[in-house]
Amino acid sequence: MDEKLPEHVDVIVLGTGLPEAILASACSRSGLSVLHLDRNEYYGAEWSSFNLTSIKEFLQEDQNLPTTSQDLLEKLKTSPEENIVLLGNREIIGEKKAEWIREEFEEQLKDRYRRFSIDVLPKVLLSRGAMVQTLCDSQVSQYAEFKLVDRQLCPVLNEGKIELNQVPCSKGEIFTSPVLTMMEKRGLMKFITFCTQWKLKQGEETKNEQGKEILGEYAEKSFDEFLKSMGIDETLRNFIINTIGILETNPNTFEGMKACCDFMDSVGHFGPSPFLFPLYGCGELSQCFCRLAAVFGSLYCLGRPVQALVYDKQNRVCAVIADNQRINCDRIIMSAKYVPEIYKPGKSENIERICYITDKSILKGEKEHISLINIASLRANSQISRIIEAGFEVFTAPKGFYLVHATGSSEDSTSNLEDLLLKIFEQNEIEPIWRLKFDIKSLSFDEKNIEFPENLTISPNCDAFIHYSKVIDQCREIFCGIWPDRDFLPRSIKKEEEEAEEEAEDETENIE
Amino acid sequence: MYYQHKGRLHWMEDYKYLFKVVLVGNAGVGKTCLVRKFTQGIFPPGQSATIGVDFMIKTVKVGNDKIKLQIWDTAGQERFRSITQSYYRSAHAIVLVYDVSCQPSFDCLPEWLGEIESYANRRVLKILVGNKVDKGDEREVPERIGKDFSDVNSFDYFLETSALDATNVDQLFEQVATRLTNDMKATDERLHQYRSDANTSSGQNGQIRLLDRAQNQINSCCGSRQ
Repeated sequence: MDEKLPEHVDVIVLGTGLPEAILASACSRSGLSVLHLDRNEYYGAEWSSFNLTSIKEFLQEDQNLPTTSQDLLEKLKTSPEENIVLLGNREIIGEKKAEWIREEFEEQLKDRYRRFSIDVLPKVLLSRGAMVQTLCDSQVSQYAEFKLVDRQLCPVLNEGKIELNQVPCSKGEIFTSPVLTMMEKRGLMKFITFCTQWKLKQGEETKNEQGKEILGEYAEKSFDEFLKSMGIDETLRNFIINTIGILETNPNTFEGMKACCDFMDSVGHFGPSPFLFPLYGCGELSQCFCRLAAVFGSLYCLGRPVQALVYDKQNRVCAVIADNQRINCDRIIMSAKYVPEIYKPGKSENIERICYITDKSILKGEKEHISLINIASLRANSQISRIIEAGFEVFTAPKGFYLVHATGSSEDSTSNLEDLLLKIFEQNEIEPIWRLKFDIKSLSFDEKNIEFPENLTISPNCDAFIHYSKVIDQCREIFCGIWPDRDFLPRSIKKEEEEAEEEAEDETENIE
Repeated sequence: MYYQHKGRLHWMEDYKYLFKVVLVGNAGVGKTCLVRKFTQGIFPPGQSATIGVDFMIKTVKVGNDKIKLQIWDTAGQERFRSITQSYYRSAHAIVLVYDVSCQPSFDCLPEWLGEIESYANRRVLKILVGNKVDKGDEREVPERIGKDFSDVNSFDYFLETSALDATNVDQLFEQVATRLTNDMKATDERLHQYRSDANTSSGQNGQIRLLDRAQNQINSCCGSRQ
């Protein structure tokens, strides 16, 4: 069991978060030898999911810190011209706090602790988005299952109360929706038709310019203004901007049209809703990519100290020191967490996260739902604010319980994310059971102004976007930038074994 | 593409149940050899760690029913005890393998059990296998000890195998298939839940498996869009 780590690999990847997992799988899939390390005992880092027992690991301070003596590290140098650079252990998750609000449940739920799956960074997948496409192409999709986010709610402030209205997605739903008036239905249908035509004219190749031309002077102007000019009333505008587009605050028309088209494109692909949620939580995704990497030979070693880098005289990384062993490599990819302290990060964005366990849905329905609510309209100065509620339907909570995740960018001090959530709870007579709160820092490094070794790559950081398209695009860009002649997670060729199995299918054996 | 498409359709219609069987146990106990011997009838030479094996499929017959076993290998992630939790998800059966000629591989069983208990479904079929019985003289773990461990830890089935000379290899997987099929038939509710209709874009309880791109395109031209 105590095998030694290899002496040399092509690529070492530090951290098993989703971006690193995607990159590791892309590398090993294209034939590079990969060693994938994480100081944590668990997969996923800031992209992981925890149950109520393992959440302790998340809450406690970081483990396996590099406490190695300089002497020992010096001994691992192969020439005096090499330099040892200690790896960092930056704080990405901060202000962690978990508490039982209804204390009786701490005992009552004890036998069901492991049935929870609490996402650090909950997101959804867009049915026709880049993530789903990559999952399918790479066949990582065979390691996971999904469910439709089957309820989208739009919050409307009405006499100080937050009303949650169900948003119709498909044409069928629009016609039968009780929330919209006849006029609004017509308006929405007209808008959808306009989107379809706009997308058609915009075409695939000449993307942006043509589309902008059609929008004319509105392209760079406020989307809200544009919708107004189409004669769409306020309720409907709110629907379109916050729920169909799931847009950031005050988007311009071009961005708005693009987001709406993406949404409509995904509607009806797997079902009425355009969004999917992974069973057992979002933490599954990084594990699935790691599995693909492993299948193609990537070596996995978790829960060991990852200590230092070795720089050669050309200021290139030539090795990593982990678990007191030296592993030579040609390239290193690491998450922001591991970036040596000698490099100063640029501005970092804070993502505010709150998760409650409840025993009642925020909006009672005939069946259990997976719900998505964009509450950006209630927080005018915030870039991103949303709530995802899911539970037993996606196996992230035991039957009868729900996880309510709120995610927001925390620059808005005027309307607190948690206050809004509590208000929704109060109006629906929900008494939350357990609460978890923390911050995620999106660290970024200005690679133009910092002299990183030429073969060191920092993987994309945690982002607050609703879906995964950005992560995939960034990873593809990084991979293709380093290895322009290699394919990024190409379609798998059918394995010989499978074919042989299919041929042999008719000769099945008889048992008993 | 067409071939693949045809293949998938073929799978969907052809069998009564599809079961996911996962193998775990220390590196080098012969997990891959057991799977290969069973699915392909070969004993792979060399001692290299597993690369490129995801899962293998074999169809067996239980009574009059065609049953597909989808047998998953650890993909080498067990070398440093770094198996993903998602590997255990939705497994119908777990086969825990040790090497009868290697005491340390037996001593690690409690650790593996701990992992199974934390990640796998509670109703999962648990099977303990002592492999490499062909190594007669080098045996370090007597059969009695293995059987006792299996009883104490409430495994559903225990047997000793050899992937080299094929001892009990077919029996092992036939037992898995038979027991799972009988279980499945006994519980109507579970029958519906796990039925392989999950292969279509929306399964019976709304679970979605993303199919490969070819299949997706077919879905979207079939007018499922609204």
